[in-house]
Amino acid sequence: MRTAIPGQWRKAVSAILHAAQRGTILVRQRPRNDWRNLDSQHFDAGLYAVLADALDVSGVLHGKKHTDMDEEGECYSFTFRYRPPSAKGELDLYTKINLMPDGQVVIVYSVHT
Amino acid sequence: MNAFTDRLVPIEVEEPVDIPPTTPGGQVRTILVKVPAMKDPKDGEIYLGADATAILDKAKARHLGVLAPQELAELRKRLDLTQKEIAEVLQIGEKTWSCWENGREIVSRSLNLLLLSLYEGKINLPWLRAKLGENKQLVSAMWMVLRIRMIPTVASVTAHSIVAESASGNFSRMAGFTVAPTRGCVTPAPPRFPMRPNANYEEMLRCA
Repeated sequence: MRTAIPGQWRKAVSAILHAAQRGTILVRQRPRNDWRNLDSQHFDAGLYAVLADALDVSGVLHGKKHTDMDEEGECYSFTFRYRPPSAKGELDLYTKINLMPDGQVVIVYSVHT
Repeated sequence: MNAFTDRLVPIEVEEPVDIPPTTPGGQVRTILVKVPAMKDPKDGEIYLGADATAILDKAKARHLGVLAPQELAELRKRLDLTQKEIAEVLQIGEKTWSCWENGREIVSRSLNLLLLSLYEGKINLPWLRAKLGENKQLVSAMWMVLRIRMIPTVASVTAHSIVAESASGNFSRMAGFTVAPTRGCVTPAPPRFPMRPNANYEEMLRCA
């Protein structure tokens, strides 16, 4: 069910992604490779910035809350528009991110079209 | 701590990195880079952290001969500049710099040479700022000359070409001017190659 992603969660996840400190972001191998396959003209670090920017958009961001994850924490999925550096148009990207209970670590489960 | 992060086991994995072509029509190459990772013994999932990202990005940057995003951030912080300030020094948009620094895009190859020189200490910020100052003085001096002395319509057309030329460093050669930044004045200098004298050129020399 679609829901408005809480501002507090967005803010916390965005701050972690922007800071990109060691031990605070865990990206699964699959989304890392999906991101790599999107365009060769960006870096891995670009994924953090793109996800953070997607969360920083003004207004309400709708997504889906996932309560069935193995890992503890608060998990949401949502879609956003992204234009890869070599692409002519924008893509709709789907992502699923978990904020761990301590509020210090995020897990990126998915990033794909 | 989180139960999940506690159970992760450190491992090393080989990750593919795509190297885009540096010439038109070239092919993307894929290399393998060893990075630290974490494995979840429960389901076998492998996770990469920010340390792995930095290694992968540096490997990509090395193969392209450019600075990695993390190195651009390090350079800016070392120079004690904000993103806005460094963009101003480099005469690019703040958003462009931000895209390079956060890895959304690869730094432009032409500006990379300048940034690499700064990173390696071959040039320094005061030198770069002085150059920027010279350029600004030259352009504003020319605008002043043109506004005061020339017919407005001609001035408008000529000024546009001067701004374009000065940006590519051709203006002083074209007009035969040199700028003395410490005194903040424009002094005429003999042209470096034979130039066809014309009214505008004579007028500029007289004003200066």
